[in-house]
Amino acid sequence: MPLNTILLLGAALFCVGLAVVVTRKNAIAVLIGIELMLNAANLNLVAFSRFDAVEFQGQIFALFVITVAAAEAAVALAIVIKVYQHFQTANLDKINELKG
Amino acid sequence: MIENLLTYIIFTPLLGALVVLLLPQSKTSSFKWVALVALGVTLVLSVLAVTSFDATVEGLTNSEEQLQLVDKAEWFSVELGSLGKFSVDYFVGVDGLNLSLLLLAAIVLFIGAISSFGIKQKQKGYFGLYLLLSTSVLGCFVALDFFLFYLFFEFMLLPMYFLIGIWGGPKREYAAIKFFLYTLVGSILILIVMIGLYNSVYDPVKTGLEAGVIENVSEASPDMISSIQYAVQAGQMESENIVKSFNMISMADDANYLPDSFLGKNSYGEIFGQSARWIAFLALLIGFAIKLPAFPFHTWLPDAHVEAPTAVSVVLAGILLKIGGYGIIRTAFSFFPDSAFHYSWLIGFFGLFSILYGAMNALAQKDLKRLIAYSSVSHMGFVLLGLAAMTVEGVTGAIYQMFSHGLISSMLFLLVGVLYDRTHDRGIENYGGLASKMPKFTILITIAFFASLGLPGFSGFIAELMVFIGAFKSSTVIGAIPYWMPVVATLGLVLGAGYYLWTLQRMFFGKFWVKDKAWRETLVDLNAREYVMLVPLVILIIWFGIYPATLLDLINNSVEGFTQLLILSVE
Amino acid sequence: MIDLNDIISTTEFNPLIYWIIALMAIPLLSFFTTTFLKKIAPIWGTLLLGVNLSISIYLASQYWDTTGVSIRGNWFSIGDTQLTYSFLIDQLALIMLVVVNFISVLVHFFSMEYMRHDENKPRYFGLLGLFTFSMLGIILFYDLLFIFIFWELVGLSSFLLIGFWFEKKSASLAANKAFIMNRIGDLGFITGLMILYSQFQTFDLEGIKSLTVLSSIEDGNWVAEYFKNGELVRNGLDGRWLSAAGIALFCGAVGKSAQFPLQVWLPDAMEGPTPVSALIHAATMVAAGVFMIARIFVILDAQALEVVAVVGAITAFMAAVAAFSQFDIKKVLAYSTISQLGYMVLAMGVGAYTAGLFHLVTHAMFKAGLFLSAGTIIHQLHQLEDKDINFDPQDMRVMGGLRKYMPVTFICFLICALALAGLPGFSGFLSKDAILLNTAVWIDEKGGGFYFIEVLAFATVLITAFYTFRMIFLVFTGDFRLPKLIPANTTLKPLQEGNIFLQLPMILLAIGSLSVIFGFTMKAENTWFYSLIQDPIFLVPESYAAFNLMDLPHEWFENLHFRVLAISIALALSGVVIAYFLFRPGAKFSASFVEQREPIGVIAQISFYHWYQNALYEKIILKFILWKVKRIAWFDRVILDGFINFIAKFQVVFAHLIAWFDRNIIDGFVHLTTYTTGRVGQLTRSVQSGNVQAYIMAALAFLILMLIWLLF
Repeated sequence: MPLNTILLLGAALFCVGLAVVVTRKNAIAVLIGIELMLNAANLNLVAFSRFDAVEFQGQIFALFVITVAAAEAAVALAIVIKVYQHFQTANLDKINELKG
Repeated sequence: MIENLLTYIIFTPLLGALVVLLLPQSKTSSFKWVALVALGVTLVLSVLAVTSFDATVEGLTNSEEQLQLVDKAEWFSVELGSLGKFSVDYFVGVDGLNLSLLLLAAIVLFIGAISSFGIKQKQKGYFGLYLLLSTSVLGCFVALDFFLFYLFFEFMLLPMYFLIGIWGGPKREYAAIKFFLYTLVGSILILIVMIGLYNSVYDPVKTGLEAGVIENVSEASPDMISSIQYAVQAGQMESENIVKSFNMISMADDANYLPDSFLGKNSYGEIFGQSARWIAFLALLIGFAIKLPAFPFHTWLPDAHVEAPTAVSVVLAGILLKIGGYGIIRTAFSFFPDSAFHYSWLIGFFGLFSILYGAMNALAQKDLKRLIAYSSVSHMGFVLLGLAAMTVEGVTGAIYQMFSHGLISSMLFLLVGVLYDRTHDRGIENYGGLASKMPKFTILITIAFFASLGLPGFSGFIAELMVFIGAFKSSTVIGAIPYWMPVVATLGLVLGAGYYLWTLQRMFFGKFWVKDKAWRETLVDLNAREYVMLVPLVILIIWFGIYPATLLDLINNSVEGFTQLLILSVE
Repeated sequence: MIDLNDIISTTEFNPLIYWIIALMAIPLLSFFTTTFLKKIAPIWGTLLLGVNLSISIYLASQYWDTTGVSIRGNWFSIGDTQLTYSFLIDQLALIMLVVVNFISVLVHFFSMEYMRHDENKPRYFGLLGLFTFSMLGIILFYDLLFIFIFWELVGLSSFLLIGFWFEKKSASLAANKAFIMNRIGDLGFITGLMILYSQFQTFDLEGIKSLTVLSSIEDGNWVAEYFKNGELVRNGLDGRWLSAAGIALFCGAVGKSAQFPLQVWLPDAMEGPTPVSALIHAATMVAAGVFMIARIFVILDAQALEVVAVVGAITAFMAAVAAFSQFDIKKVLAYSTISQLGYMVLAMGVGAYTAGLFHLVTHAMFKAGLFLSAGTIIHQLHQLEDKDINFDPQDMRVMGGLRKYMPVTFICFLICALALAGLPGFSGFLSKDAILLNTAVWIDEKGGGFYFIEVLAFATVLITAFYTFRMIFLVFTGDFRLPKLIPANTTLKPLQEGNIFLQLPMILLAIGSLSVIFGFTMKAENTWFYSLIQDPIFLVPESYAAFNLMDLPHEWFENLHFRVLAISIALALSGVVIAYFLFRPGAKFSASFVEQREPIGVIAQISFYHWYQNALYEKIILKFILWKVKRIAWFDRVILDGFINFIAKFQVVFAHLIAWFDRNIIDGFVHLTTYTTGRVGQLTRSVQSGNVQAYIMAALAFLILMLIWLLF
């Protein structure tokens, strides 16, 4: 499978994730979008690791990303829950306390 | 003979003021007695000063030898490096020029204190300020250091402002501010000249001390002083040794002006192309003419008088105006006799104009106090005319006029106060035929009116006569003012008779009639306190009218010294 | 060369000074004490004056033959100039002393009855004392300054006595008028004092006279040279000031002696009590002007004397004309006084010193007599007034036929009137004749336009006789007119002769008006008065001096004397005859007289209103002055004070302007800065939407931009 195809898939996945992050109102959905973008990155990393037969640096990075994403998801979900408890909503448009 | 007599005279009222301040507010009735006692002591001390005055001492006005009862001590001095040093003295003393005014001030202040017994509100403040005013007025008459003089001169304004502004009539704020600002304008002119003079004048004795020529003041013989003066004039004195001075006696001597100084006689400093001395003279003249007041600087006077309480009017007319005349004699004429001669025509003319203008205005007034205020303008014109004459008779007349007007105008204002106390109205047209209701009051006011219009037998006549003969003689002797001035000035006498007699006829003669029926009850004749303050004045006015030698013998030598100074500068 | 200090040095002690002090102290004592004495004030005042009269008579007898005793001392000094006081007891002073004290005593005596019912009589007698004191001062002092001082004091006492009934408005106005008119004259007096002082540095008449002799005219300048304190003094004035000094001093006399143009106060002064009019406004004070001219006579130069003569003649004529149509008996007498004073002044002007003073003395007697007689009539008529009957007791229209009721008064009045008219046998004849004679001689010498003086002087003789007898016919002959004028249902008390208090002074003065008192002669030169007082010699520098009448040939007087005598008697008699035909009982004018409100005909109108002089003063000059004064007060209040207030207001406005500038411009700049910053902040904060997704978008956009920038 040529590299280009994989990279295109990764880019498409990233764009979808980005679109989700930017457009969805629900904080959980935004988190999902972020996960999509992280995984798009993982896809790229794995794809590039085909050219590194010795050390598999890309795969190791992908593992790191998965780990970080898990941690991130845990922390972010906790924040989202606290935000929800505080504002009684998870709609990001409503939560604009920092508006200048 | 008491040491430091003048110092006691000046500061006794101040002590009284402190006592008034320290007494608790609740002792309302004690303040007036404190004031009376303090001013009584001042009066006694002043009489003592007059009796211990040696009338035989002679000398030009610019010599310190002719001064008596001198208190002199260095107050402070400032080192100016290569510019020398300037020193300010506490320097008081009397000669014939201010002796009579010191006595006058003491008399009028004492009588003013008696008349202040009628003040009912805020007595503590009133008497405190009154005593403060007394100190500054007395200080002004005897101070011989220009700095000290100016200090006292300015310090008069403050108590005066409050006395008019708090205890005055309906428009008191306006009057008080007008008085304050007007006088301040004059003060500024004086201040400017004072600074100019300090830059130009040095004290030979102190310079000698500084330079080590003499060891102490007692060595300063006239010869020594003139040798120091010679050294300074020749430029042989080190500039850092020169001690600049505010000494008013030094300022009257040309030899005490630094060479090339701005206001020195031979330095020809110029302002706008005019001799600086002329400008400085005019500034001093205008500064004091505002106080005098002379046309056209007189408009504060009627307002201040009308609004001021009686005692303040008395002090204002009786003493404060005289500071204007005294200032002209002691500073403007003494420091710049040559300029005085140069402007004598102008001074005489403004004197003459004030006489006629004041009298004509008095003729048109409907308020008794305003009428008397304008008559003051008219009478003070005689002071200017007499001074402009620059003859012995004229200057004596001017001083005598100040003294006599002090007594007469005090009496007039007290009498108006008597009427005002009873009805709170001063409108001439609101009364008629008071003579049948208040005969004793009428007798006294008739005496005062006739004294003021210059009837022989009262002090005013002697003064005006001397001004007339002195002014007429001027042209023959020194050529200061032309013959026609005193001749035209006699018209003031007719106008004076006109406004006083017309007032007498309208207010006191005819059938008894008053505007307000309630006044019929309140208009009672004089009481004991009013007699106590009026009768001594009547006696003094008559005494100085028939025996002027009492005063003239004391001041003759000084006046001669003064006119000599003027004549020497003209030659 | 003469030293001024020697002339005016203090004289040795002379016991005469005690008498002089007593003479002045006694009336002054009366002034100070009567107020406290209430009831006995009249007797006390009269007694004191009686003592004074005795002293004067004693002094007169003692010093009758001396040439004059002078006493001098220092009053005060100005610089090195001594001002002195000095007394001179000479014949003139002695005669005046006796005359003044005599009339004063009589007036005091008369007033005891006249003022009996006035509650203020202590004040009245006190003021009479003050007046006598001041008058004696003028007479005794020989120093121009002191004469001036007492001159003003008689003015004061005159003021207070004219305004004695001060509740009457007309009285207080008349008092003011008298004082102010006198003051106007006194301006001249003071000017004269100034001129003489600047020249001679003394007011002492002895000093002035001695130095005037020594002064000279050099190049039109009047130069006085003398020593003073051992130093040579040389004072020069333009020569015209010499004449000016005389004329200026004469102005004083114009005021005091009621001469044209200041004479208007004297008729009004009749508002005072009648005895006062007799003493002050007829006999003594008004004559003080003439006395003063006599004192300074020798230093008057030719020009000043001409002015004096002209003024005197005009006054005499004008006042005589004014007298002939008055209704008020006191007004007639007042105008007649002015007219006679005009004669005296005229006499002084032509250099007839003695004649003028002689007329002063005779006039004092007969005019005081006339006034006191008129006073008696007024007083007795006043008794008839009660609450139903009101009339003016001075109005001649209510009189008539009083001869029957008051014979003694009539005789006294007639004698004095004959003296006034100048008919032989009475004192007025002698003195008036002397004046006319001297005037005639003077004019013959002078010639030219001065003849009008002579015409006026002789015309006045005719008019004087006419108005005097008009008065006599109207008052004393015919029927008593008052009963016809009162309401029908009222009855009059009978009119009575005055009592002894009123009669005695009248009788004495009437006797004093007989010419035998002065000598049994028809010629003034033969009287004792002429032997005592001679014409003095002028002392002014020769080129300015007038000629002395004495230097003229004696024949001139002799030749003219009979003619003058005949003409004046003829004129006086014809005046009497005209008065008889016009005003005798039943005559044309007499019949219509009582109904008149004011005289009919132009001449009578001019006469009645005294040439409208008073109207000119009050309606035009006084109004103008008051208007002018109001304008000046307006100028002072609105323009001058307004200017000051404008400056003050301008400052306040200016201060507000500055404050506005400070607030809006200076402070505004600061505000602008902060505002700008704020706006910028506003702008930038809108970026901070608080929306997480927007931040991400922004970050993304920048990332993309950065990528584009990096890549291309």
